[in-house]
Amino acid sequence: MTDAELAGRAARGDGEAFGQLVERHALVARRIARAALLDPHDADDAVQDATFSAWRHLDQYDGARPFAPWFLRIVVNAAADLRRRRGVRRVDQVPEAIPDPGPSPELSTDRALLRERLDVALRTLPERHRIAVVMHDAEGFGHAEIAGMLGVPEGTIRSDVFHARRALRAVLGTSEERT
Amino acid sequence: MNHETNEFFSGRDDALGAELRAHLTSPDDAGFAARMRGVATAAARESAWDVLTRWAAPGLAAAALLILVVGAWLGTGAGADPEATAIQGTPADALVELAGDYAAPGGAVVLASFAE
Repeated sequence: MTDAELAGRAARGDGEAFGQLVERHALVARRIARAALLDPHDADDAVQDATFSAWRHLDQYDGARPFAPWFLRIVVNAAADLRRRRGVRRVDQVPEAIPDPGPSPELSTDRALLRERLDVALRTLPERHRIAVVMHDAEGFGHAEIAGMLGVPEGTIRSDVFHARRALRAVLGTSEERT
Repeated sequence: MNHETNEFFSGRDDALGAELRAHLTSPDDAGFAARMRGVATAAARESAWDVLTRWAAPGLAAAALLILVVGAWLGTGAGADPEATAIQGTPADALVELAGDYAAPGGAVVLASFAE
């Protein structure tokens, strides 16, 4: 069943259809929320908040458009709301202690080091840059779609992705020639 | 156009994207997706039934309060005829005085009025 069909059934009050729809996009939502908040627990809370919000506003979803960007926009807003509510936390700054469970046994030392550096690099980026580069390079959304989700001009997103890549590559020690 | 300018307009960086995905992925992702499905289903149920339940208690309390207020109001006779209420509320001796006031005038008074 397509997203549009599930959304149509959900709009008619089918909770199971809505559950299926959310499950389908939950992991993308989780990664975006993590990129925004840099805290796994807050990210999960934001996705949950977004799920409730999406259900309440399902009548505003245009079934002719893809569901994911609509839902992810709600996730991004929920993450921003959560950050405002828990305003004492400043995740744009490099924290004193990075919550890192440490490398699992199967990860090599190099891999663990790379992940740690990536984590530090992400924390040096502004929130919108992080979201933009994750949406674009990790999740495959186009600049225009991301611009729509974040409510900023497309050129701004291009610039955000460009600067985020440059910063991440610098920290990861990779070259500009990877594209 | 230099390389950076090209890149500004180009497609995605798959290698960096893979690193980011790996970094933001958790071992419990499958469990999380299933949990969010449950949350979504619960959200749907909540809005349909629990909203009604949530309003039931205050609604019943308000109705009970209204019944009490109306009952008390009727009990004090506030809705009845004001004159009747005044008489009902008058002490017995005052009623005797009132009756005295309305007693038939004496014959001298009646004759005097005819003479005028």
